[in-house]
Amino acid sequence: MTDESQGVEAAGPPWSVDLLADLHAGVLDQAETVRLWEQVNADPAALEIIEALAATTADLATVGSAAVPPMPDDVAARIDAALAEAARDSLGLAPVVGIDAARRRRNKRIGWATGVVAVAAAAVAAVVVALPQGTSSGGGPVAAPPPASQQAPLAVQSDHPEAAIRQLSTGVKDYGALGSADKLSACLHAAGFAAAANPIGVSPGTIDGQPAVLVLLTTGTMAQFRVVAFSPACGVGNAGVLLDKVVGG
Amino acid sequence: MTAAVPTDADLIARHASGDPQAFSELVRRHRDRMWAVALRTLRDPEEAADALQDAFISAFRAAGNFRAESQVTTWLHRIVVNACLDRIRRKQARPTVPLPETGFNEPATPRDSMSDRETRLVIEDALDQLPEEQRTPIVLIDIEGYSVSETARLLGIAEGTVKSRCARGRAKLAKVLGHLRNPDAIANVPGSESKRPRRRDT
Repeated sequence: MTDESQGVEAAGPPWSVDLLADLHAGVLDQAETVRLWEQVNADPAALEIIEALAATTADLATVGSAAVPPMPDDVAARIDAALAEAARDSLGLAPVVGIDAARRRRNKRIGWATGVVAVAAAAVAAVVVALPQGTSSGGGPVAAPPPASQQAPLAVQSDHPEAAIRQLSTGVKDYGALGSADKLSACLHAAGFAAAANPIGVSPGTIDGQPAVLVLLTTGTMAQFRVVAFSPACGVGNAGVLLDKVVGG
Repeated sequence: MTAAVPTDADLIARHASGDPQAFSELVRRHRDRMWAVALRTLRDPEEAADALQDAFISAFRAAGNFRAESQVTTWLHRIVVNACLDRIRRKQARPTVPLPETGFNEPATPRDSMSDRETRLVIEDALDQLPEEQRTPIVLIDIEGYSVSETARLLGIAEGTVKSRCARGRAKLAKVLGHLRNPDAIANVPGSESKRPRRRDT
């Protein structure tokens, strides 16, 4: 084992690099340290070794402060996909798949061609949780959410409002018949929501077969959301709330 | 009007209150830095990717317990380092081919003619020649900036052992990196029980 140090009895020319490395690293006790430094400071050969050790730690520090290469795209996509899965898991929207199981699946992929396809799929999956709320992030390029028109119509039954979460949690902001965020704000205000209410997702759809604009809001509790369905006719003075339910948590 | 960019702490709070996008934004901000940490600690890109995935999922689940007294980056960094160390421990539990101890006295490449980038590659190559037990504490202390006591806690070993392993590793690195002008001429007195010094921190 390499944890053994040289005793101060070994001090003096020719100097042991290991002993001076111990001194430099603070391995020795106080009395030994004081005594040895006196000898080292009086001997240029010993000081040369100490300076070499100091130069080594200075070199190492440059590695830590150096500009870092970006995370490879395939790794980033993989992690985004894993986080998307964890997010769905926390919402109870998908069967729980452990990291090990996911990794076993991934390890079955063979070759770069398969890897590229997997990365593309992961990037799509990442959209589930990786999208900013209508603004660009301060980081790298971010995939945009698919337009609501490319998704299946959001048909929700009032006794299963949690079915809306998957689609609305993608960050989609399609105001449908309301047409704009301002119109939705008027509906939210009319329904008594705070002015600061910032929907995670908005999409036209149906509630129990009736046309609606569906809105997903946070509640302040982890993994708990509020699903609200507004009539397309809602606005100032007309709340038009067709559904208002808290799910999850 | 441009919305104010949320701080890391804001994103953690939003994540804890159920915003499904906040944590991904946090990861996007810091993933390059954490990738570098994982890569330096584990050396193998595949291992580093696995460790980062474990770390970010762990952080995702633990973020609700994050307390604002520490920096988010410090908290995240520690989770990543722990995930890397877990992998090193698991790897050490499996039979491995020992790293060669030879080569430390080979002439060092002249450093003054190299660019900074090349210098860093030389340093990283030199680090790769160290046994894991020396390399890991050196990475944590000299590169990542952890204290000896933090490193001891992370690795589950005594502070004196951390210092001793760093000392051994730095001595080897000083030779490999060419800082010792004539390392062969400098005697390394073999260790012996009778000469073992009194440790300050064990």
